[in-house]
Formats: sequence, structure tokens, C-alpha cells
Amino acid sequence: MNEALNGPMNISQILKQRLGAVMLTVVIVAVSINVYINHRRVSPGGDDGIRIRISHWHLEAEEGFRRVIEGFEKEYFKRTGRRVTIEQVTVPYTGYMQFMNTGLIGKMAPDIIQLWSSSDPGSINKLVRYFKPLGEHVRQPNPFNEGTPLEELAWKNTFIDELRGTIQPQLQEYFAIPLSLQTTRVFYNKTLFEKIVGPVDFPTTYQGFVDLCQAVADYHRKNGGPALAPIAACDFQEGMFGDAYREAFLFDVKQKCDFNFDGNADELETAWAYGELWHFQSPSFLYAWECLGEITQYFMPGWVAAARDDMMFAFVQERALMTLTFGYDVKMISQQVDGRFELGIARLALPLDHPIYGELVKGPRSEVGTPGGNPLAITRETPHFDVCLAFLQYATSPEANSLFNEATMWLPMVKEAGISDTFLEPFLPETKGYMGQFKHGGEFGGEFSQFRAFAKGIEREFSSGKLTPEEYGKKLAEAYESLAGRGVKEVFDNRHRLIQGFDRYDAALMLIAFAGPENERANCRSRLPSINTSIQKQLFEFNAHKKRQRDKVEQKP
Amino acid sequence: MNAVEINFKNFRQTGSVLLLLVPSLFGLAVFSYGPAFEAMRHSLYVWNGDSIEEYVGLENFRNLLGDLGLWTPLLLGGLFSFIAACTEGIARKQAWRLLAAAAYAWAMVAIGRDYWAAISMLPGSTSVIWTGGALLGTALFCGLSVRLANNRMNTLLNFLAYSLPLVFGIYYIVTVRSMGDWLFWMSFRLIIILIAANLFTMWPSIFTAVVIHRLKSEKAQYLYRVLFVIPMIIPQMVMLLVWKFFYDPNVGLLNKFLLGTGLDRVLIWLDSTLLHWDVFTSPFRPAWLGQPELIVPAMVFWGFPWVGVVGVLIYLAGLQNIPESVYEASELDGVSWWGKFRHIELPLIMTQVRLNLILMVIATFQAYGFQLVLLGPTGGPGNKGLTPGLYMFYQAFLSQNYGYACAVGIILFALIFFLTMINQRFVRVDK
Repeated sequence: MNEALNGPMNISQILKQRLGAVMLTVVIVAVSINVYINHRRVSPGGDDGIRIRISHWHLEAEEGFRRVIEGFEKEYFKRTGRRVTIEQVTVPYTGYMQFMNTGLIGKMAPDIIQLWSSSDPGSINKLVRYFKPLGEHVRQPNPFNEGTPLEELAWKNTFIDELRGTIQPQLQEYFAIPLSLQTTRVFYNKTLFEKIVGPVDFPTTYQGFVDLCQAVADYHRKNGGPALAPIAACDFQEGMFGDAYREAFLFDVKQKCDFNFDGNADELETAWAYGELWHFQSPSFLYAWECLGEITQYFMPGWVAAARDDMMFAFVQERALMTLTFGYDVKMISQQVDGRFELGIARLALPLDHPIYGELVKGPRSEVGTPGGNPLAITRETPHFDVCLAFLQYATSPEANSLFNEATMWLPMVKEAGISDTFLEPFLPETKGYMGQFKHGGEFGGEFSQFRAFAKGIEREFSSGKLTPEEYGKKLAEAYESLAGRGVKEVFDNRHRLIQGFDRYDAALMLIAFAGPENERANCRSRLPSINTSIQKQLFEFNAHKKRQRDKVEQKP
Repeated sequence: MNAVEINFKNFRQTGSVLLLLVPSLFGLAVFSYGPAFEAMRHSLYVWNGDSIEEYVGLENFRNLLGDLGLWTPLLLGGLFSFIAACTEGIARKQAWRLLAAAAYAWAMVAIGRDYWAAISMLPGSTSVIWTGGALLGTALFCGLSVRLANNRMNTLLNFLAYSLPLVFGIYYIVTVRSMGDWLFWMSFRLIIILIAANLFTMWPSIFTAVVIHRLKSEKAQYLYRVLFVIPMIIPQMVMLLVWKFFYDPNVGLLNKFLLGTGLDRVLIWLDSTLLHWDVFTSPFRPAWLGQPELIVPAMVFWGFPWVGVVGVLIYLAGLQNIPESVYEASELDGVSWWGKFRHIELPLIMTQVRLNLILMVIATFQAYGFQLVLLGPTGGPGNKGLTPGLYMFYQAFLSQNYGYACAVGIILFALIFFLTMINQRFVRVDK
């Protein structure tokens, strides 16, 4: 009607009147173009050749990955004449798990992903569903090892641990390839250490370590000045010290509870043996906590609420003499220290020769079975499995693995790769000692979700000095006795559900074993029995044990 | 020009207008109602967020709440009492009350049955006390409410008569029977304290709004409003980290302030003589977020001086609706500054106070980010900082029990809904 009255509208009038619609159209077009460009970017086989993406959470390893990627792109072109572009997607530690999960569920995950842990049984379902098994490939030689002493060896045998730490025990399958070896060490300020206790060696005994902590506290009390704590710590350090002492004291108990002889006592085994073979108020537990309590009192004030960054800053800013962390922090710490003080590395001393604790500690802790760090897995959605596999093979050739670990200052995972720097020698794994874990379901990653949450709260209460080891044990026992039953049910239910997934996996294996390609039949046949006797066996044994217990009770007058 | 009613009957004339609603309805359905219905559905499943999805009926609720055989009549009783309180007609009111009484009687039978079943195994006195207490409370208040009919106390007595059994029953289930999920119940402790604290911490916002409103200069009013709006653009995460720094035992401002003003000595004296918490000692470096005893005070103190930006703006909006003539009349009557607040401003912004109360209760129930950032996913030492929202996060994202977390969410929804209804019904606004 307006047009009829006022004549035809010009463009600017139309734009003015339809500004909202115009803006909406512009936004929709811009977003569509953006989505199209991104889609093209991540889509397989663009015009410029093959493009794959690799994601990890070690921001400090960006340079190492870059070196390996550049080497691989050249080598792959030389060998095949095909151009490959690999893009690194680095995501910080805190958001990595969400990034990985959403990417995998949404089928938009990168082609190669760094896993949290290469053999975590809790993620079997995830491994089977989202990642390509690598078993058949790790049994073949690595083509990138040609011309090296490893040429004849199967790929898995070229790793320092021969991939024992990476195999998924229930499935007897490999899903990830590690690039480095990470051990736990005490990082200390050598300059300050010598200022406080003189030019002596770092203590190698538990008592020496406690005395050192006390010396630092006394030094600060006497001299005053800016805050100085013996140990820079956060929740992470408490867990590491706690694990070290718990494993040391509970080795005997673990041996007794390891009914399926897999080297560990898991939640179900320990639930089964609770009250008969172990108890939270037994000397092993009480001594382990006593040790932990003795050490946590020397943690920096407010460590309970501190984040990992706070801990790291406290150490590099010389507000603490030492800290305990993984080897992968060495580069970052060295850079931050920047020559302001000399950095020392030492092993954590366990109370082996302590007059009281020593009786229950059987020996040092072996690091031989430590799973390799930075485990990289190939996602099922990738259209370039062969390129991804070739990248992993290249990255674990001696030359490339040396290149990677030289840049990251980590220990190489591959034989013949060699340590580039003598500085890394203290990080070499301890080969002697005991192995295996005792799990009651309430520790970090434990499968009894309610007990785990409660145990965490009560552990913090203990660590903040509010509970004695006896009180801690009592509270934990009360919680365990009322929540472990539910936890066992939770584990059973979860594993029953997983078995449904295994059945599909087993069926596929069986099909290959009897009707698959000739060269894969033997491999699949050999894996079938081990799969079928893992979880199911545990479940049946547990049920049988409970039945026996019930029968015993019923027989009582 | 004749007005045409916009509805589906007149679709030919008004269809284009109705179609304009489609995009927003679609968005609402997909992004708001869809997830909500999915959460309701998944609360009946064991769901790991991905491939494992198994229907388990009410098992998640049973694990969380305990005996649903006792919960059901208690909650039905609560619901019927509430409807009775909201209903206008006397006959209808009585009918709902009868239904509520029947539901409570059913709950009492369940408690009694429970007691007789356990009489040989338990000391028994506790359950008898609570069963007796509930029955006595019901009888007493029912009797009083009938006797004092038409009295001004009638509403309160009726409310007590029909809510006490609910309270007694819930207490019985939670403490005596120790059923359900410990941590879930434990998480409400902090929420109750924070909601109680909200009743006090809301006043600084009201006073601030009144002070700004009474400023004579419009420019000054505008300046203060802007000053209050500016903090809104600071991301919540930054605020959390600022407060984390504030509470830091080594370099935090709180400890420095206490040391600088000598208040540390007062706290040390209080601790040694009265509290016996053993957290305020010399040298004075209390870890406000690391000691179980200090977590709740730290949570309550968070946000000091509790002048909420949104709250102030809401109250200001209410205050600006008060006609100038009311103030002029009060001036003529010689009403003091306090009288103006007490008799004019506060009654006239009660709608906003109620709204703010609802928002605060909802926000408190849903809160988890602050606790997660400062104390970790299990709520710090002794789980003192655990809230239902944080527990929901823990179950979903750390234990991959998404179905269980959905059930926690549904219970929270029901509770918030119920509290909002109570608030709407009982916090009266007299214009």
C-alpha cells in the first residue's frame, strides 16, 4: 500500500525497512560459508592431497610433534609419491577429555588421538567402539625400521617394554602406540638445597627425606623472609605420594588378593577378600597413611585448594624446595627456571630401611610395567587408516623417536633411540622391585563411584590434618562396608553390559578365526580363549565364592 | 477496522502471524524442552552418555532416595496439602486435606510396619520417637486447625498440620533408615545453609538499591547504575578465580587483611577457647578452602558485601515504579527515612523481593561451578562443599553415570518447583 501511495522504494529504503531480514541473511550466508570451509578443511582428500589431524594435550610437545610431522611428510612423499599434510590440534589438559568425548561421539574427532591411558580397562567400550585395533600390525615389522638393527623385529618388540604396558588385558588387543616413557621423580632446587643443608647428596632414604623437609621448615622459621615450603603440591602430588606409599605397604596384601594372577588386585577381588585378608585398620594401611601424613604436613599451605599451575609456580618461583611430578614436566620446568637456580632430579625414597615401617615394605617399586606415555590411537572414522598407521610407524622408528624426545626432553620409548641428554638419566625406569596395584574402588579412577567420592572427601580431611590414621581407617571402613556392596553391583552391571559389546567383538574374532583371511586366522584363534576367560571368569568365580560364603553362613547353627 | 483474533480458527487471515512463531517455538522445543524431556527419559535408564542405554525403571531414584514405598505417600501427602492450601472453596479444601491425611496415614503405616519388622534388631527408641512425633504432630495441629477455624493462625496451623508429617517422615528416611545415596543427602546440608544465608545476604542489595533510588541527582543515580552494571560484563570464571586468590592462604587478601587489622589474634583466641577447630593458629595462615571447618563459612562469605548486580537492578526497577506523590505524602506526614523504607518502599517492592528470592533459591540449588573450581568435583575435605548440582556433575562427567545424574536433576527440578510454589503461595504481596 505504501508503494501505491509513495511510489516505488529505492534500494536504501528497502534496506532500511528490511534491515533485520538483510542482517539475518548476511549472517546465515557467512555461517554457511564458514561451515563449508571448515568442512572442506577437515574433509578427507582435499585438492591439496591427504590431510589428517592429530590431537594431544601436551602443549609443550608441540615442537616435538612438529619435527616428526615434517619428517614424515617428506619421507611419505619419497616412498609413495603422495602428499600428506598433518595438522596438530593441541587442547589443554583440563578440557581434553571433553574435547575427545564430544569429538568421538559426534564423529568429528581427529584421525589420531592421544588417549588418557593406553590400557585403561574402564574404557574398553570406548576403545572397541571408536578406535582401530592395531594387533595385527604390531606383530609385523615396522617398515620405517629398514636399515636399523630393529629391521627384523616385530613392531611391538622394538619398544622398550615390548608394549606390555599398552596391551588391553581383557581384549588382548593393542589400540595405541606410545611415544615416550614417563616416570615419576622428585624435582628439587639444588641451589637452595645446598644453601640449606650444605653440599651433600639428595637423601635416598625415607627418614632422610623427612629430615630434609624438617630442615627446610626450620630454615624458614629461623630466617623468615618470603614463604618457603618444603614441598610444592596440589591434589596431584598427594595422589602420587599416596600411591607410592600405599603400593609399597600393600604389596603383600595385593599378592594375597590377586586371585586371577593378573598382577593386580582389582575392586572385585579386594571386595571378595575384605575382612578376611585385609582391612582398612590393618598395620599396612595405617603405616601407609602415617607416612603420607608425615609428608603432607610439609606441603605448601593451602595445597588442598591449589591447582597444578599453582603448584608449579610455587616451585619455579622458589616458594618451595621441591615437588614430585612426572618426567613430562621437565622441559616446562627447565624453561620456567631459566637458569635462576640449578634443577636437581631424584627418585622418591620409600621407607625400606625404616626401623618400624621397613618391616612391611618388601622392596623398591619397579617401573618396568609403566605404560608408555602419549599413547596415540587411530580413530575408526578416519578414511586414511594406512597413512595414520604409517605415521605411527614412522614416529616410533629410532630416528624419529629420538627427534621427538630430544625436542620434548622425554625418555624415548623405542629401543636404539637412545637418550639425547645425560640430564634425562635420572628418569630411567627402576627395573628392580615389586609391581602391581591394590585397588579398593575408592582411589583415583576407582570403579565404586559413590565410595570414591566419599573416600576422596575423607582423604582430604585426613590430609588437612583433621584425622589420625586410625580415625581415617575407621571412617573409610564404615563407608566401605555400607557402599562397597553397591559398588560391586555397579561394577558387575557395567561389566555385564560390556560383555554384550565383547560378544560382538568375540563374534567378529571367531568369524575371522574360522573364515577370515589365512594370515589372520591364527592370530584371532590365539586371542579367543584369553578373552573368554577374562571378565566372564571373574564374574563366575565371584558368584561361586559368594555362594560358598552363603552356604557357610547357612550351615552355622 | 475490525480487530481479528489471532488463533487457528482465523488461520486464513492470521496464519502469517502464527507462522512467525514457528522459528522461536522450534528453537524452544529443540534447545529447551527437548533436553528436558530427554533428561526425564534418561533418568529411567542406566546410560553412559553413549552406547550403554538400558531401561531400569525407578532404580536410579531408589538408589538416590531409598525406600520409594515410604517416599511416595509422603510426597503425595505434601502435594495434596499444598493443593489444599492453594484451593479457594472450603469443600474442595476439605477434600484435598482428607486426601493428604490419607496419604500421611499410609506413610505412618509404612513407618509402623518398618518399626515392627525391626523391633527385635534395633534399639528402637529413635524410630518410636519419630513415628510418635509425626503422629502427635499431625493430631495436634489437625485438632488445633479445626478448633481455631477462621482464626488468623488457621493457615499456619494447617500448613504445619500437613507438612510436619512430611518433615518427620523425610527425617526418618534420611537419618534413621540411612537409605539412599549418602552423598546426595549430604549435599543438601550446604544448600540449606546457603539458602538460610541468602535470607540475610539479600538485604545489602535492597539497601543499596534504596540508597541509589533516593539520590537526588539523576546524574549520580545514572553513574551508580552504570557502576553496578559494569561488573556484569566480567565473566563468572574471572570472579571465581579472583575469589580463589582472595582466599589463598599465602598471598590472599583475606589473610593479609586479618593479619593487618589484628583480627587474627581474635580468631586464634576464639578457636582456642570456644570453637576448638584447631584451624586458627600461630603463624596465622588458615587455608580457607582446605580446612573442613572453614569451607562452609568461606562459601557463605563469598560475594561479600553481597551486593548482587542483578538484584540491585531488579529492586531499582521496582523502586522507580513508586509514584513521587507517595513520597510527598509521607514527607507531609513527617515519616522518617526508616519509616519510608519500612512502610513504603519495602512493601511496594515485595514482588521484586519474591522474584529475587525465587531466583536465589534456584541458583543456590543449581550451583556447582564455584564449588567445582575451588574445591574439586567431590566438594573438598569431608565433602563439605558438595552440592546436589556438583554431585550431578560428578556422576555424569566423572563417573559416566549420566542416567543417575539425570535422576538427580529431576529430583532437583521437583524440589525447586515445590519451593517456588510455596514461595508464590506464602510470600504474599499486598499492593
